[in-house]
Amino acid sequence: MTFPQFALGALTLLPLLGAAAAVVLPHPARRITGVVTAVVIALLTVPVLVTVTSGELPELVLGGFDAPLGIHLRGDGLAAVFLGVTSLVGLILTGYAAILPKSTGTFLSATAWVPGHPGFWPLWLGCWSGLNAVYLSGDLFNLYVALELVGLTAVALVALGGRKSWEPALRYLFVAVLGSLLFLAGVGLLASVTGTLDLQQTREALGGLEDPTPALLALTLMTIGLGMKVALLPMHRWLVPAHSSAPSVVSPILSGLVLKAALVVLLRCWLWAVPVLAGAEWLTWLLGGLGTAAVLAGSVLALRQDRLKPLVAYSTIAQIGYWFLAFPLLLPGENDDAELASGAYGAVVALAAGHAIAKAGLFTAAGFLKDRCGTDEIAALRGAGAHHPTLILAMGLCAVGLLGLPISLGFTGKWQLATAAVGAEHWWLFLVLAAGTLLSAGYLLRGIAPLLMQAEVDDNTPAANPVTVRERTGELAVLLLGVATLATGLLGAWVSTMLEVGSWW
Amino acid sequence: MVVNDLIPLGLVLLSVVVAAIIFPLPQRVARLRSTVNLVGAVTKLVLVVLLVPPVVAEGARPEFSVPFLPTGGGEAISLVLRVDPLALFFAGLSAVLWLLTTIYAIGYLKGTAYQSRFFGFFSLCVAATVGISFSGNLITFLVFYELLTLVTYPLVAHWGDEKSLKAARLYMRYALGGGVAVLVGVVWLTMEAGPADFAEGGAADVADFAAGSPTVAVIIFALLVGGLGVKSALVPLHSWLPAAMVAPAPVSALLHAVAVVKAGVFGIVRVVDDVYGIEVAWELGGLTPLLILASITIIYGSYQALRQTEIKRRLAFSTVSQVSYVVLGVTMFSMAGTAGGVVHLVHQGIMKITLFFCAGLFAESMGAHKISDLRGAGRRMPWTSAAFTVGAFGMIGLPPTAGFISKWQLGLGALDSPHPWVLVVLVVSSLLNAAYFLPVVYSLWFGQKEDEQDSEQEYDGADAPEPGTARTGDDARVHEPALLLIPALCTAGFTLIVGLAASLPFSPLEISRFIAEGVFS
Amino acid sequence: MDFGMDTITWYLLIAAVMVIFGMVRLLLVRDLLARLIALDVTGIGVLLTLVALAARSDATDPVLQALVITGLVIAVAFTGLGAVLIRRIEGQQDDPPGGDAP
Repeated sequence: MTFPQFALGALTLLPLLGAAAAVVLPHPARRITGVVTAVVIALLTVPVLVTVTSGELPELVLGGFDAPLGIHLRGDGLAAVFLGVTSLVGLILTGYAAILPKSTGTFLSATAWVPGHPGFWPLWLGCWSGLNAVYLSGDLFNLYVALELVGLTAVALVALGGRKSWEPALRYLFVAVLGSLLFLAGVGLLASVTGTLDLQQTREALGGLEDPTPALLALTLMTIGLGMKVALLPMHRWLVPAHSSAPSVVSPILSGLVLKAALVVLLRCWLWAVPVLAGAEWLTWLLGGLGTAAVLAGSVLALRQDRLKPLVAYSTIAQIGYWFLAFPLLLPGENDDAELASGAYGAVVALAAGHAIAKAGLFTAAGFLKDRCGTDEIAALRGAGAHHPTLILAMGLCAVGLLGLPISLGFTGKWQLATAAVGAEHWWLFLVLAAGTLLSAGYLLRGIAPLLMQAEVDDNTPAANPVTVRERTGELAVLLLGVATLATGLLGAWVSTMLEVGSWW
Repeated sequence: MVVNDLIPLGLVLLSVVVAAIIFPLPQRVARLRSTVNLVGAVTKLVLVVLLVPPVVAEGARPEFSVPFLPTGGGEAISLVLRVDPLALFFAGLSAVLWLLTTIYAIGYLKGTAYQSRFFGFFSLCVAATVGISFSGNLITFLVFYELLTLVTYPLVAHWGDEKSLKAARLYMRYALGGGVAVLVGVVWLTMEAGPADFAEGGAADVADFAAGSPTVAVIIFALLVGGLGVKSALVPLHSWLPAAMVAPAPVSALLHAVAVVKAGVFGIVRVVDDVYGIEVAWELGGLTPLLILASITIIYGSYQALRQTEIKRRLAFSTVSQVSYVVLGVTMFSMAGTAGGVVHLVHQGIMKITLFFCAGLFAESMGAHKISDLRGAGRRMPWTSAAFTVGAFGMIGLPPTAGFISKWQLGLGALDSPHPWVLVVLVVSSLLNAAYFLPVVYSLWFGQKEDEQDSEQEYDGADAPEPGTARTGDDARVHEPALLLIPALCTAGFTLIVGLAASLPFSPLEISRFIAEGVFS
Repeated sequence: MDFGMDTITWYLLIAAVMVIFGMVRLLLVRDLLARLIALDVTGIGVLLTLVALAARSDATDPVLQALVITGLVIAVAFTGLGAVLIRRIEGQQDDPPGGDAP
């Protein structure tokens, strides 16, 4: 077993071990376990990235079980990109949670609510394990299991936020389970036709079939199920309460990373498991249409929010729309232009990866302000910027990424999408992109500008209390995410070369 | 000096590093903040000056590039930073004015809140400007152009009151709208003709493309110029500029003289001269409409300036008008005209920043915001008034100021060009300039104060004169803070020196003639 | 085709009815516990479909069976979590429940 192969296995199992260890340890030790695990995971990501950059595809079959039943880990380009992003964001957020324990939620001890929930650590490490497993899974079965691990821990993480978060958490649970049931039905249908769950084998088997109907039905079921988990527009209502009532370090995890897991599974289904189907075109157009609606409606709804965290959550819904805009271009269609398809695919990945970093930063900042000021009402936060210049700067940097302005992966993604749109002569995409960018400028300004204003009564704002060293350090973590938003903007070319490793074409 | 390819990157990063150091500094460490600022500004100026001989005389072109945007299958589009004479010209302007504006701002903002934020964004703004000047292709230009929009927003909104925020919002709407137009243009052009590296005389790929499909080329040209026209405040896209006057005086000075407005015009120069190439742009018929638009802007801006009663608003409309001289020069399709337009890029910067420095001084020291408040100010603030006078004479175009050189060169260009009627525009606008500046200058020196009560003594600095002494009579001297005065006197001095020394080697005029030769090569 | 003998079709039919019934109830009912049960009914319906599909051929499909078993485990886990949440939400008005495990 080579070292990158070992890293693949360790990336999925180590966080799980960490989670198990955290369960039995007392609270302070849990924090240490969490940080150590996060650092090790981040280090283990490096050999995988290096191997993939050099054009090789690290693979590992765990426990000797081979396809169709077994654990087959494939570190291809898609996996590598999201592993990298998750390690980066996860490491920073772990640090943030360790520095500011009150961001991990509140729990009821005897009679009083105590800030800092010890349950956060095992749940977060379990979630991380699930995320890595989703990225690396080479078969539908493990994708399903890993996705469920992510969903289960994510629901529990939301519930750490105290009383107000329980109902949103339950609502999230209903949607997540329903989504995964539909996905499971789709997977079962595919397996009953092909007799295998391995992505490669499924594709080959489906390619040999004459009747595309079962595959199409399965794809539709899986897409609806995953659409619920990604919160694509008509299935988005659960996201806002869940993401805005979650503890302040959980919201960025949910918005930045957990949604991406469902997106990765969706891409795996569309691009790896199922070959180009004759009747799938209408589905891509439906997704494109829903994406457009999500970009516009999500942005308009974000503009109408009075509180910061829901505003950021609605902005997530708008950003989700961008990923689906590319679907009509994703499959080499009538003009058989594989270059366009790969461009659109690169665009989705760049947009999602950029969003992971930028949104994590913005949500952490919003949560920071909420923790500090006791409210996230924009009007009440007026003038908070004066006491937290670093935080405001970080929010600005993240906003650059969300707006899709250069230099950021958001820009790279929009650029690739726009060029693919020009190539395919889908001019409407241009309009949606432009409208989305302008609208997002509107809501981001609405969220951030009041922070820069002068408070009417200067000393009355809770933000004016002395800022502790811990809080300053926490701000630096947010700044790191902001800087990463810009710095990763220079990696667009690298990302697209990585994506070619183990791609479906 | 050894010319290294990392120099352009270093120059951009220099201001970013300064910003990074300044942002986390607490409010009270004013001295450290000022030191960092000044060290950064001086270093930048020295580096830029050292670059002039190798780049202009020896033809060195230091270039830094890094792959940035993936393309479907092909080679990735790079971020390119390259130093060519035009780039150096603009970078030089920004380096000089950054230093002076920093000194001015340190004095101006003394004792006010949020200084770390201000100077941080201020440095980022300069970084963006330097990035714009060194951009080697359209994508890179776009990157820094958008960055500039973002970092100037907090500067315009600096005071944080409703009025500033409203103005900043208006500015943001205009600038982002223009930014989107530029973005669409750049994406489209890149799809059709590749990344469009800036080249003297135009990019070859773009010329081929324009020959093949002229209609699309014209549409893209219109998108690019229209988008850039927002920042350069071409009529009818100018109304953000007078509104943005609510910003602190150093910001207004920087916005008008170097950063935002100039970035737009500089972009137009790049698009016309280095992307399409002036010959191609002329053949496409893109220049004449732009020339007409510039002429309208010049006349309209001057007319509006005449109607204003506030000093800063009059200066703002004057900027609208003056900046379009640059566009006028590069679109009149003659070598002398291009040289005149390019040289005005620098000349207008120096003169207008003088005027804004002075306007800030008048407002700070005498509380003068309206033109009528300036009556008799010449006796109370002689140095400021002298600097203002020099700047105003420059704007009118009286010899021996820099403005005279610009207008003379533009006039020569107009006679050379297919549009001799432009000369009429120049003459009319000079008359209008005189009409709105000469009365101000007259009342500065010869006006009598009618009502003492009109002007309030607002200056509250530590070393301010006793309020009583300032109020004793019309002729009482008002203290002119040195940190504010020195930059104003420097730029006023430059206005004269640049005008007098126009024919020396490495003078702005000589460099811009050299650039113009490249354009028509 | 003889309608009566095809047990598999019957199973699929029952499964479909369960899925539809469960989903409709999940969407319409407000009571939290009822929704959780409706969700489980839907889940059982889906798993039943898979079992039926697995039993089509003579040798039962091991792949599908593995899916069903995993699905069951996951459904149990989610139901447990949901039950804890419901108990907490409904216990909110009375005395707050102790314990920190979610």
